[in-house]
Amino acid sequence: MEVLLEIEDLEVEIEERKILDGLSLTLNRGEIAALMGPNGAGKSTLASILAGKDNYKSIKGSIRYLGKDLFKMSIEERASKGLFLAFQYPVEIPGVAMSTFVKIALNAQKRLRGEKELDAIEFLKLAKIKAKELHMSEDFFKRPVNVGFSGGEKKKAEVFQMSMLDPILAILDETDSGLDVDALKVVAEGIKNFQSKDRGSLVITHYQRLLNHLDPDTVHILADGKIVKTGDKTLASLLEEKGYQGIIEAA
Amino acid sequence: MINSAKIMDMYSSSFSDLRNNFIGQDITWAKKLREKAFEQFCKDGIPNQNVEEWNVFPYRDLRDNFFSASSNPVDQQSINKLNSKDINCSIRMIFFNGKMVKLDIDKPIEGLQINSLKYFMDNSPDLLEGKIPDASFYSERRLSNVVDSRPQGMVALNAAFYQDGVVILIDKNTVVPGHIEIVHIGDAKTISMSPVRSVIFLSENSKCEVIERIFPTCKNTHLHLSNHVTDIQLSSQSSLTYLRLVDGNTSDIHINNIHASLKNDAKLYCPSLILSCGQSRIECRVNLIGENSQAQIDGLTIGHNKSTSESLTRVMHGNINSSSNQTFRTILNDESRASFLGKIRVEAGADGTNADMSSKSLLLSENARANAKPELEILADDVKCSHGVTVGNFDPEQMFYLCSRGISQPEAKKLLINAFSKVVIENLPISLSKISEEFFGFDNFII
Ligand SMILES: Nc1ncnc2c1ncn2[C@@H]1O[C@H](COP(=O)(O)OP(=O)(O)O)[C@@H](O)[C@H]1O
Ligand SMILES: [Mg+2]
Repeated sequence: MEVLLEIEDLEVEIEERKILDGLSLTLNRGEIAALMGPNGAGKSTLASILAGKDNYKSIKGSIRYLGKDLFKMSIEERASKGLFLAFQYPVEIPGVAMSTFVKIALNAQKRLRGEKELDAIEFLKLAKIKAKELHMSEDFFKRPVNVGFSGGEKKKAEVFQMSMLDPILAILDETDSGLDVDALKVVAEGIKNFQSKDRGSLVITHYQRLLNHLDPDTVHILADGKIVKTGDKTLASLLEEKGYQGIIEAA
Repeated sequence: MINSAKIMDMYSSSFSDLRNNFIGQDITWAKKLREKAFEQFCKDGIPNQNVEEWNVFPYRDLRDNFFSASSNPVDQQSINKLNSKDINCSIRMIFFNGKMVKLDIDKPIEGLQINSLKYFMDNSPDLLEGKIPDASFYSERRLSNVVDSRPQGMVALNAAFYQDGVVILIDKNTVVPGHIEIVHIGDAKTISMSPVRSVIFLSENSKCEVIERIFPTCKNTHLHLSNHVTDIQLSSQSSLTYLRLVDGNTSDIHINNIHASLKNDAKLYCPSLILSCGQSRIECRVNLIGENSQAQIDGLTIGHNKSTSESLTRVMHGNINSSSNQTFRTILNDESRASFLGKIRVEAGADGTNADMSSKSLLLSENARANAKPELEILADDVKCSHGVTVGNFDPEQMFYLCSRGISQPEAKKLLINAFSKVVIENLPISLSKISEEFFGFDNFII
């Protein structure tokens, strides 16, 4: 099994406070890993560091992605090498249509990889297929990015972007929150369609209901700035039963 | 530096020298207006920073120099260098150093009279009588009801020295096809000014699109002041689109005054697009004197170098159910500065007024600065009025989101700049939006 992502001893300080403190985690190709943990544990912080947010006061430790030092890659380089983050809180960009945004992003990535860019017709064809898979109406192409989207629409739009950009490592930050049962199914399908033996998913969630659909290989619990417990999917059910406190005390 | 008394003396002797050669001097009313304007200019001078409307930027170049209105010879070469007019343009007028040098008409349009101000003064001055208001007409009325003529010193200077301009007179029920383009070019072999005086008059139920385009004077020349005043009268149910494209280099000072009055159901759409490297100041005063009259005043400015760009608006709602919308967007590079001074005044009894004003600035450099002062004076009861002002940099969350999808920083910035200016560009009719995008060259916008 080839290692996709390897985080070692990650320490992150925000405003004089250690948010992550010696976090280590490995994710292989073909693996779906769930990352769970109480609110404020630092899950989103970890996700945004992986995507390249660099406005944290200090970051220590190492992260290797596809065998390379992630800290040496720019944000856009990470994306073009297949790293994708579905944001917990997708950002609104008034004045930029969703289709314009995704087309520019897709072609920018292709350019960085030295691949042929898609023209308007090829792009639209692909976008229509992907939107249909996610049960999304096409009029959302024209809407400004995330502006006036409902919570569920924002999450679906993230999954849409993921399926358009076709990454290698998908980090999904609470993509299941705020979704009704049907939307949850669609999103889970989207993630399952994406997952393959070459790809990996890091699914950040609070709930078992998404994991029931996804059938994760591993479950990590993040607390006190580190992974306090790693197990298989039964750990998620145990968590449902005992709560974070129970698990953390036992660990 | 020359002191201001000395500069005023220079304007006085210049006025005496030119007195017999000005256009319209054989027409009693025109001569009287000019003399009166000069008197007022002598009294008020070039506005200084004690004048409320002029207190943001020092305008030192303007005050510390004498700008001569006597003109340089026409440079035929720079006229020939202009592209031929585009297909949507039915009439084009070319001005060199403030005087018309070419009038290019495909075929005469019934109901439209268009020519230079000089032509009308020489041939049919009676058509102009009453269409050029007295310089004091533009005075600022303070809330205390004190009438202050000082803010309009530049209009008085124009009214005293104008030598040419544009006259567009449109008859009842006439719709002018395509657009009329007015192009200003020039060189500044000495410190000089082009005082251009224009009149646009639309009769009942007529319609017209005008683009006025001011090119930068040739590089590395002397200071050049283009001091334009345009008087617009819109009769009932008429509709005018008046787009200004102003491009200047570091030695250019643009002071443009637009004064419009609208009768019942008249519509004015007046966007100004400014690429500034020097100094620009666009003042737009609109009197909505008719019921149901509507004005849309927009501005999109891109500032470079140490440029200063100022936009001043005065929208007066003087009758029932009139509406106005002002949308200003400013993008500032380098050490550029911008200021927006916007005022909406709703007179007593002007019920059903709807007025919006928004000014946003995007600072692309940490040395750029923007300033905005919105003012509302509301004397009526039933009024919907709103204003919003923001000054900011790129939003780091938006930048992170865009880059996390593989978009490079410069490309992400370009996307956000385009999104930021979109509200202004989107209001333009398609034929004009293409011209504007070419004007700004958004596709190769450099940050
Ligand atoms: N930009 C920031 N500035 C200050 N504190 C932050 C910032 N981002 C996150 N935090 C703090 O870091 C901690 C971890 O937050 P987060 O990563 O969002 O947790 P989770 O996603 O696990 O709920 C929280 O205490 C939060 O308040
Ligand atoms: Mg979170």
